[in-house]
Amino acid sequence: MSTSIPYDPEEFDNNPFSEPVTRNISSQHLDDAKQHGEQQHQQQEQQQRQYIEQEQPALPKSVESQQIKDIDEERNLIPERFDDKDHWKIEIIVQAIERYGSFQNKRDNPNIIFEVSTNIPLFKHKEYKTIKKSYGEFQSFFKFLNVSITECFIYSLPHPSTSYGIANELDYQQTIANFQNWLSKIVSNPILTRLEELQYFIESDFNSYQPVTKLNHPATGIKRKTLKQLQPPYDECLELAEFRPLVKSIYQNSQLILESLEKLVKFKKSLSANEGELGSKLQELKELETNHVGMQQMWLKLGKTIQTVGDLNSIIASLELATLGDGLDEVVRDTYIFKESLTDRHLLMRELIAAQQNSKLKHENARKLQNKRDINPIKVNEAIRSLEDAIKEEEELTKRLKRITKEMLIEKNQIIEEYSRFISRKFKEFILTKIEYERKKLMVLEKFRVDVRAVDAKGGLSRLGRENYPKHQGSAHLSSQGPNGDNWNGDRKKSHFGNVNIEAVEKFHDKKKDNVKSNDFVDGHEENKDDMPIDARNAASLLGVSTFN
Amino acid sequence: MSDDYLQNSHWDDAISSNPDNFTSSNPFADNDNTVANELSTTLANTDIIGEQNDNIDEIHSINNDEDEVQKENSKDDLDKQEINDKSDNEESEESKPDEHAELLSNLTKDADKPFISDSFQSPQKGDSLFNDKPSKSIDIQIEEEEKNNDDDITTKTAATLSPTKLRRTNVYKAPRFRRNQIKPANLSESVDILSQTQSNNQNHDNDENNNQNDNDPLGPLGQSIKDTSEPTNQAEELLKQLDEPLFKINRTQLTPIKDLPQITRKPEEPSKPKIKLDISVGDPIKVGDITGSHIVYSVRTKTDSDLFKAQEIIVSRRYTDFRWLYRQLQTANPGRIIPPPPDKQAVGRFNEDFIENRRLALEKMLVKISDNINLQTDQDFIMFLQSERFTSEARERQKALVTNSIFSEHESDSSIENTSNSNNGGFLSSLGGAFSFQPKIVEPEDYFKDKKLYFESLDYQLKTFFKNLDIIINQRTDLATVTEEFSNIIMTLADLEVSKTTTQLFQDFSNIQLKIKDLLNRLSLQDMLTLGSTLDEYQRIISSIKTIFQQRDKVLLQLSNSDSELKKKKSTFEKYNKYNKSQTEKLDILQNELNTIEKKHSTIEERFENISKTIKEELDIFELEKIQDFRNTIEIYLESTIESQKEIVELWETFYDTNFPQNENV
Repeated sequence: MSTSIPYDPEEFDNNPFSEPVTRNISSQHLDDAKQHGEQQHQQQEQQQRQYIEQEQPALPKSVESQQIKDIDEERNLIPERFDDKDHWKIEIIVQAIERYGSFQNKRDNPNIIFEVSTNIPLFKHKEYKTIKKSYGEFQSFFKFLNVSITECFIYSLPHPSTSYGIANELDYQQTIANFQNWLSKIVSNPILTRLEELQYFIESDFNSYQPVTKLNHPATGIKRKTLKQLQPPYDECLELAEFRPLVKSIYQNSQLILESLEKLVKFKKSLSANEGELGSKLQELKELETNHVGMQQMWLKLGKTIQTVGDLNSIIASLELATLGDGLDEVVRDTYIFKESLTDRHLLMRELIAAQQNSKLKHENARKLQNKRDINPIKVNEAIRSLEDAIKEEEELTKRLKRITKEMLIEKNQIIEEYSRFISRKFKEFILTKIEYERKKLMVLEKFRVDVRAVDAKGGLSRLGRENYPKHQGSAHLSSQGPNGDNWNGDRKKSHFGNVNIEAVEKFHDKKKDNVKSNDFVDGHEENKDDMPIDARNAASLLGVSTFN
Repeated sequence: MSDDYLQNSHWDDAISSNPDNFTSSNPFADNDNTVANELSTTLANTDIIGEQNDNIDEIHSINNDEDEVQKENSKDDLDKQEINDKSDNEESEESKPDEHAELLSNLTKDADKPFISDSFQSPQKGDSLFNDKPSKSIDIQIEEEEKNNDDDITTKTAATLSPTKLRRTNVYKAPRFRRNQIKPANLSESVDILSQTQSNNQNHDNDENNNQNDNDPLGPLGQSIKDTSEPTNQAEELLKQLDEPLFKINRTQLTPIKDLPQITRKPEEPSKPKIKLDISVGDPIKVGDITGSHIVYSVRTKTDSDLFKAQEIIVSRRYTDFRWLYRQLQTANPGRIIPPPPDKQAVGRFNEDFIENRRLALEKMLVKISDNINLQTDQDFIMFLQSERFTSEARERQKALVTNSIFSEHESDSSIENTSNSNNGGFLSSLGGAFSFQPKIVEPEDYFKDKKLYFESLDYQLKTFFKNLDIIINQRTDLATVTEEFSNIIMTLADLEVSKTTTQLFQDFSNIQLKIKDLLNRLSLQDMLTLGSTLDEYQRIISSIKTIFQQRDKVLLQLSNSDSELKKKKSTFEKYNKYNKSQTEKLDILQNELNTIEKKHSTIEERFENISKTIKEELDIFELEKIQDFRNTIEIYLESTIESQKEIVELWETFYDTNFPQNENV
């Protein structure tokens, strides 16, 4: 590989075109840049070490000294991650969610009840039972974290409700799980656990929490928008420089997928609605089958089957939205916040550049003054003071930026890991429900097979060519799915889904039914199929509960 | 009996259908012999047939009015043969001529009386009249006969046929029949006159035998069997005795073309097994230039039936030909549900899916026709399956049928009117029937009222069913498109390669969505081919059923018309009878007219009953078939749905297995 730029081992700069000004203005800055460059060599290792074995800086010899130096610096920059009080712990368990009032209020403003146990001395007690916080309080706490803790990626606050619909038991469980996740993620961050604000949040009375610390947002509104249009400032930290576009495309793509998924679900719903209509129309055909009882039954059953399949399709669509859709929604909101946090870092870098220029200017002024023959002591003092101020500001900003960069580098990997974990969890949820309901659909269809064959004595096409052969009783098996696997599937290994087998499915439904009274799911249909005909209204109410909020 | 019938009809056919080959007796005789052999008649021996042929040749060699004696002889010979064939009621043949002479003199006295005014019939021709009321057919046949003679004299040629062709088509009686019938009927009024005179002359010769022929084109009144059976005078009584067996013979001997399928059905249904036909429609090929391109399908027929020229026949037909067949069968078989061809479509005719659907529907149509015992032996159908020169034959047959259909619908009109007018009158009245918007008919039977309502609602239900299905299929297609989009977008997320697991997950997910998209499309296609095509077919069948109801309504309208006409006539007659008793001549005429109308009325009535009966039969069959068809369709639909459902489950489970393998250990 040939290059016109001579290789300089000291200068680990990936950008040969970067302005020299930035590097030359302040020696400290240059050092900083160098340091970052060197850091990148060991980043991977460091990160691992940092949050897996924070206490043991056991490192290979060759880089040991450098790393120790880095760690020292990190320790200075992010003391929270390195302090001895690592045993400081806080645990929050969400116990319940309370919804009351109007439908709107129920949906948008639940109260979250949780308990806290901690050993952090900031807190007055070790145990807090049944703390009740409104969603509004959570929002203000989140807003505070998001704005003032610039060094951390704050996960987005979960939605107050899910796509299951608030009347659904699954929604309740899912919302609790969402809040639990969020709180766990917050308190797993050592920087955040040491915040006084957390203590205020927890210890304040219900509905009385307001952020105590003043918010100082770097830039908002049009200013922010304008700044975002500009080319991002040169980033010494390549990793983070690359991270923002990645986050941004995840954000955008997820948004597109979400939109597409919503469209898909809409189509599926309208399809299933039409299937329901077709089903009811088919049942009317029975009236015209005046002298054949078997056919009458068949039309009726066919109508019912198609309706049930339509209902199942609608449920599947709803569940798709609730599992995958909500998951994607969370990804979208998270990535948006991460993206904005990275933007904040850029803004800070701009501020730093401005400060550096300012201090340079001040330095120049002081030098000019020094060279002058007639020295005005007042002016000299003033110049020195402003220079000192400028340098101090610059140093402060540099330190802050360093701290942010370090912390973000640590959290970045956590985020990616969490993202993968989250995505596969959501997919798993999605697929499990999907398989469950698709199997149920299959079961419904196979149940109907018996009815078709029973239309007349001949037994239909299934007995083509052996019409006269005596019919084997019970040969029309109800279902091809059994606890030992499927008739049609060569895969005989023990079923890997707890709820795939019929028994398990039934059990699952029974359990669900016990829990959920308001939400009578399809299993209800299936079991009471004969005595409870599924008409359009019935289906709509069933679906309405679970899908429309 | 059936053998007799067969033999005679063939014989008749041989004569009437081959005017061109008449002069050359060789192929004709050959043909006749083969037919006879084929049918393995119990009675007919080839000698007699040969004799017949000779006689016939004689007939034709003689000028029309010239040599009556000879003709008589020939007639007698023929009669002899027939009598021998049929029954032995007759005394010795020798005594016959004497009787004949006597009768002849009697009859000639009363020549202008309606009941004796029998037209000349060649024995074969005349025979056919007995079992059939249509006087017009008789006219036509006379004309035909006349034409046969004409052909000899004037060498007037109809369509020329090669001998092989002749033999092939000869087997199906009707086609030649019709052609010959129309041509003279349509073409020549002069021939009419000729025939009339000729027939009059010949009347005298043949009265003895054909006493019951009611048809005198010149005479104002035509009479049919029932009329003649009334013993109005001495001669009649004598004749009745004489003719009793002949009448019986004749009944089965020849059938008018129209009723042929029905009559053949009767012996067929219990004894003769259905013809085995294995029909498939395939290889749609686009032919023609840019302006007039169309799709040609090849129709392959495998059969073991003698009706076909070969065991396996492949012909190419286009869509319009199928429509022609449908129309043809519909007109020729009033009251029968004809399996309909798929609907016309102006745009997208060369769309692959459309062609496939149409091919399937066309095949279904042919298979259904071939499964129908009443339709499978229809000459039009058989011609359709094997004719090499379909277009011209189709045109001819259509012409024949149009004339015939009017004739059959309005046969009673022609019995009062002159032959020349009958066509017109029939045509006009048929127009009247067709174009009157809501003919005021009082439906006499609750059964039909119910059935009409039933089919209205069935039609409606199936339409809604089809509409809903169509919506679902369209939506599914849209869904497939959206799924594909979804899959593509997911792929972009996978391309970001955030982490190995997610990339894998998104890729697989994207692929599975594509597979689901394919599955959806396949499912749509399946539904369209199973449920969709059956529904479509049944909608068309229902329109066929509506057509047969209309046919019946038309007859019903005729019936009510003739009913009122009859009443009017009756009242006029009574009035006349009251006030003008002295005018016996006029009274007689009126009486005759009244009789004719009564006759006509009863024919219509009979026809109405026939068509009602046929419809009832057909509807019963329809019900059975409907149940079976829908049951099978639903079963196929269900099975295909189940299979695709299994596929979906398997897709997702495979996805789960590959992406979350750790779960297997749990």
